[in-house]
Amino acid sequence: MGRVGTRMLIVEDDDRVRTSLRLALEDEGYAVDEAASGEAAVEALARHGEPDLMMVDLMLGGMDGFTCIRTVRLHSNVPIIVVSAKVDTHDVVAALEAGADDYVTKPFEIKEITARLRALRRRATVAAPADTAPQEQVLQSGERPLVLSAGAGTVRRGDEEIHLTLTEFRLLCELAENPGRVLSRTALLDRVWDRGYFGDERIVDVHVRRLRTKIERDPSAPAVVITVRGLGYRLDVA
Amino acid sequence: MLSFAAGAAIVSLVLTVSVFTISRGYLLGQRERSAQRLADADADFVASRLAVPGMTPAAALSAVDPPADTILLLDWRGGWTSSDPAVPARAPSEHLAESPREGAPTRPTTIRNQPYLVTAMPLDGGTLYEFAPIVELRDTLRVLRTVLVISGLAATLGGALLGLWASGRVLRPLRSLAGTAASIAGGNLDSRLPEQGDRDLRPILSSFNTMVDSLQRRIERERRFVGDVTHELRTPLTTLVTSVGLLGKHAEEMPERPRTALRLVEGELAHLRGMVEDLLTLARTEAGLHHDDEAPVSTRDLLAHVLGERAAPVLDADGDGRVRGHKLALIRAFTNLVDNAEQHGGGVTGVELSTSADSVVVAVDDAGPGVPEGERERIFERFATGRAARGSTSGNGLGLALVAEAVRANGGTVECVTAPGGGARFVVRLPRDHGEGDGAVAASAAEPQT
Repeated sequence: MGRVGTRMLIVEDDDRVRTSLRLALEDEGYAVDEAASGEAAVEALARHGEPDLMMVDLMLGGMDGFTCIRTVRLHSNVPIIVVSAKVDTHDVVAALEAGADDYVTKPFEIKEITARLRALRRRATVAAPADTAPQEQVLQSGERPLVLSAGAGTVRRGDEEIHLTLTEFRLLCELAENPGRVLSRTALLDRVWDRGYFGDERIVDVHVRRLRTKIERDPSAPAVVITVRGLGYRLDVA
Repeated sequence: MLSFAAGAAIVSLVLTVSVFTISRGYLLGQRERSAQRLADADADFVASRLAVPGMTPAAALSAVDPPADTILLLDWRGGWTSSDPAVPARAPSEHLAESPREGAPTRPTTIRNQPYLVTAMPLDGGTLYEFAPIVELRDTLRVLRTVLVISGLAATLGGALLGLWASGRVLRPLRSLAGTAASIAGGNLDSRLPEQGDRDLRPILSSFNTMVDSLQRRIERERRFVGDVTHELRTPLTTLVTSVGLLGKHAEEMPERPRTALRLVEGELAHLRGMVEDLLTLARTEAGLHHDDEAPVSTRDLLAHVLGERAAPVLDADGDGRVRGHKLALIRAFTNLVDNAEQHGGGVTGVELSTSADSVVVAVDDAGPGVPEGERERIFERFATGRAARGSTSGNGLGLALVAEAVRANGGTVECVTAPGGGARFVVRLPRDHGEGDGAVAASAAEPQT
């Protein structure tokens, strides 16, 4: 499973919730660090380096979860899963836009969270099968071409490397594996997030939006990742 | 409205009949008098001509210059003479049912389908019959009758329209009151009566609106309370679920008695969690908050996924059943219906999807004893499963309330009837999506905005 020894940082201000999560996750084989506030989390990252996974509550005293995620994202692509009692649309979307990779609402079974975490870890370890995917795939030619190296885990625009989170990268790889073919939101949810029909399609939409702001020449007029009305998304190689 | 039309019809009928009768009598009388006068004059003239020696009756008649179409018949000394060659000189009794009384007022008859007034004038040695045409009078009366009938009909129609307008005007405030009350009863608490209108009605309107305002505030306070409480419950529940889950994993390491106690805790925790989840979802659905945007949804796919996790699902689908709605809420609604059938109805016996012109209909049948007539509305209320049922089943009394709310939030209805097999049948009707092709509207709504 590769999860033994996975370092995990829980950012949660409620002591009992945090402790119970630590106990349960340690029981599953994770090495768990705790942070009781957003500030403490940012400090822990600075002091101990990046963990393999982060679990962030949205309602924190002081720095809130959204700010915490944005701050972490300034320097790090660590997979972040949001855990929150908030289920309102704007909270979920705001958390995803801040840079979270996935979310789970409280309360949850520990196996729900480990499934999410496994999917996140899988994204972190396997970007795309290096032997089948072409070493370099030109997604958009012309001056300063957009080049995806699935094996190396990089995307470049001209000479400049674009920093994508692991989820964004995985999403791009899934789309690039099937250029010109429409992938439904459900299919993408399934392939990238390990969620199927019952998942929340907004996760896909927000991630596509984030991906576009990073890779498109003009994010308001996307030319690489195209929305196909009512069906899903398609990557056009041009 | 009908009474207006009937009133107008009666009034115009009475008017028509009396106007026609009076006019006819008057015109006929006038004509009779003029015919009488003319006959008097003609009789005098003919008598004077006949007095001339050697004058034949024909010469005497032709000397008369009667108005056009007037016919004179002379019965003189046993011989008949006609002024009109086309009319054979015969006894007028052939033209009349009975002979006219001499010198008496004229009476109507017809010759060659033309109406005439006949006046018999006694002469010395015979009788002069004068036939005065009344075809113009008849035509006039015909026109008059037509005009009266048409205006009578017009008056009736006008009366009906006036009645419609007047009753509409009088009833409009009441109709709008009834409509608004129905809309509020249907859950649309933002409905209010428009403030303008009749001065007499204004106090009623404003007190009605004030009542709805306070009702809405109370309901919203209650909803917020439920939402807040449920939200606050999520945090301790997280600790409980996580910790009990950890204990459960290690239950085998425990002595038997604590392990049994742990199983009880696990069961009740699952119940509590389901209830909190359902309450929160209910509060959110009622408040119109959804997890996802409205989009085209294939009811067939949705049912297939909901049933996919169950044993022996029976789905009889006719078409795709495309609706516009909140997918997650619909999943919840159908999952709850199927759960309900399994917990209270002895299992699902069939799920049928059909499509009509403007709705998609899903029927979920179960194998249970059915729901009594009187209970069929009440089962959609919260905690309506009944005390007896709750102890024995895992239902939390919110499932069907959630179904009703979720279906309503998607513009549909749900009802409980009897299944062909005798069990309960829950029928969900959702408005069919006629959107262009794959639902371009939904896609553009979901189009990320950058």
